Amino acid sequence: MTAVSPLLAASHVTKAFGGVVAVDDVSLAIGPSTVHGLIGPNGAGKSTLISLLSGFTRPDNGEIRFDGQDVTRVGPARLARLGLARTFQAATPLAGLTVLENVQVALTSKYRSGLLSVLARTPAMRREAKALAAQARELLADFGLLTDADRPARDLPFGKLRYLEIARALATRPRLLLLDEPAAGLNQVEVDELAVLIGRARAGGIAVLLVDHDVSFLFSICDQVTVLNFGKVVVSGPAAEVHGSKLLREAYLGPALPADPDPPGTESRRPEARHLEAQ
Amino acid sequence: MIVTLAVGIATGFVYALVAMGYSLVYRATGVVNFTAGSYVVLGGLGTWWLLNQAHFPYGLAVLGGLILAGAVAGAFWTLVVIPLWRRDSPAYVVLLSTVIGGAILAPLTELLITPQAEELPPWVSGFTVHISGSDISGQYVFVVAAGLAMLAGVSLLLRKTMLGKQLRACGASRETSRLLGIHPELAGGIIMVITGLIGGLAGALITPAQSSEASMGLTFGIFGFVAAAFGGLDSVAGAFIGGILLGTGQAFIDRYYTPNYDEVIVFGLLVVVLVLRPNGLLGKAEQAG
Repeated sequence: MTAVSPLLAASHVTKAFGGVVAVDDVSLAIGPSTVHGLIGPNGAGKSTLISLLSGFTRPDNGEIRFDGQDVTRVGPARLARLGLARTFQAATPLAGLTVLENVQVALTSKYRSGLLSVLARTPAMRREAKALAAQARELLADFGLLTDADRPARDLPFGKLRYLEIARALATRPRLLLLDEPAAGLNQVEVDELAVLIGRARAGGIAVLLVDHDVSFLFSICDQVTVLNFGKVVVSGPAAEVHGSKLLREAYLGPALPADPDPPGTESRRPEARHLEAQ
Repeated sequence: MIVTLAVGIATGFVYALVAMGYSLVYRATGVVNFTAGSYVVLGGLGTWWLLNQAHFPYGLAVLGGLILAGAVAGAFWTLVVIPLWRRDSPAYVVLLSTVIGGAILAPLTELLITPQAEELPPWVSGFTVHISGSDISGQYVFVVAAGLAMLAGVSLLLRKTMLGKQLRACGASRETSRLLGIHPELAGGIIMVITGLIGGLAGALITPAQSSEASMGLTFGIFGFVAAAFGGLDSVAGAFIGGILLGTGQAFIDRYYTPNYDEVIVFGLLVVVLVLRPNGLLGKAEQAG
């Protein structure tokens, strides 16, 4: 990892909202073709960090580099064009477009020839259009969405909507994909499928930054894991090392463990804590 | 009766083309564009100017009139709407800017082209159609044919081409489209130019049948918008049908009842339709999310 220059490197990034320091002097490096997990309790600053890295929020301090280029003040649209795609916790299907069309528009936009050239319909472009349609169908097939290709995107059930969101992000051919809690609300079968798909993206040369609450899911597919708490990096490193780390348990359960860390009724909301307890 | 129907349908087709312009821009940008009626007048009077003042051959003059309308539409988009978008102006400010744009284009047209009502020669002289004893100007045939061709063309563009898909993507969500690498500003500009061309062609078609003057832009703009709301702003075909119903209804009320209250009756009907079907005749209900 040390020999390879990171694809995304955040150094000493800080962001405060009013008096609350949501992200406090965070440094993070994501290498090419790695799956990097970001984990931490609610309010740890994960969402703010994602929003900083994807250009939706500007940091107060620090620097963010993407592929060696300073992108600290670059907005989300330009970052997307540079090869940084992201998904949202709430899926954002393009209403009025079909499932296939949602993926198609994402695929075509990478053709820098742009919108205008689409007006001219040369045979070469028609071939390109055919190839694009095939590519879009291939992507949908990967996500098990092929049978839904011609449905209006907004009619998809929740789990498939999440898949569509990820398929569409991949269609922009990113080099780095930020997934914001992709497993939230999915059932176990869907989570397992998701893990396979993320692995496939990595095999295809895409780096993934994965934010999730589901500890077992996260550690099962991540190469590197960073644990955030109170806006700071608690521990960061190879997944196996972080998994065994006392600091991870402390981030979730607190340093001084009471006899019953999860009083009845809170259990269902904290599956991550249960998982750690079970170790 | 037949003549009234022909006049009504032809006027209706102009409303329909303006309404289609509203619907197109709305679907691709979410902007309700009140300049849409002005391009009819620009196309008609631009053609008139090129033909009578610059002595262009008729065909070239029509082409020039279309280009003028398309260029003004593109310029309005680039100089007014894009800067407003950049400043995150609320939707009502963008709407207001298009109302003002339409209001300014009328006196500008008067000043720079002609303050009078002008008429163009028919596209094919001496071409009339006889239907049950009435002579109808052949120009109306062109209006209807060109109108239907444009409806078909635009529907194909939106549904079948990649450009159309990207335009609809921008209409669905500007922010998401940007993240997918589409440029909503460029998409809006393209659709505005198309709207200008369509309006311009409508003007060049209708001016030989019924004269045009600068102030008619606002009327076309309002009736076109009403037609679009009538049929469904988010449905190009709905907007088109709304235009034809509106023009025909207006012509019959004018002829057989009273020309003084046609607007009252037509707008009253619109209210009834919108109460029964809030998204227009063919409009789809917005779904949550």
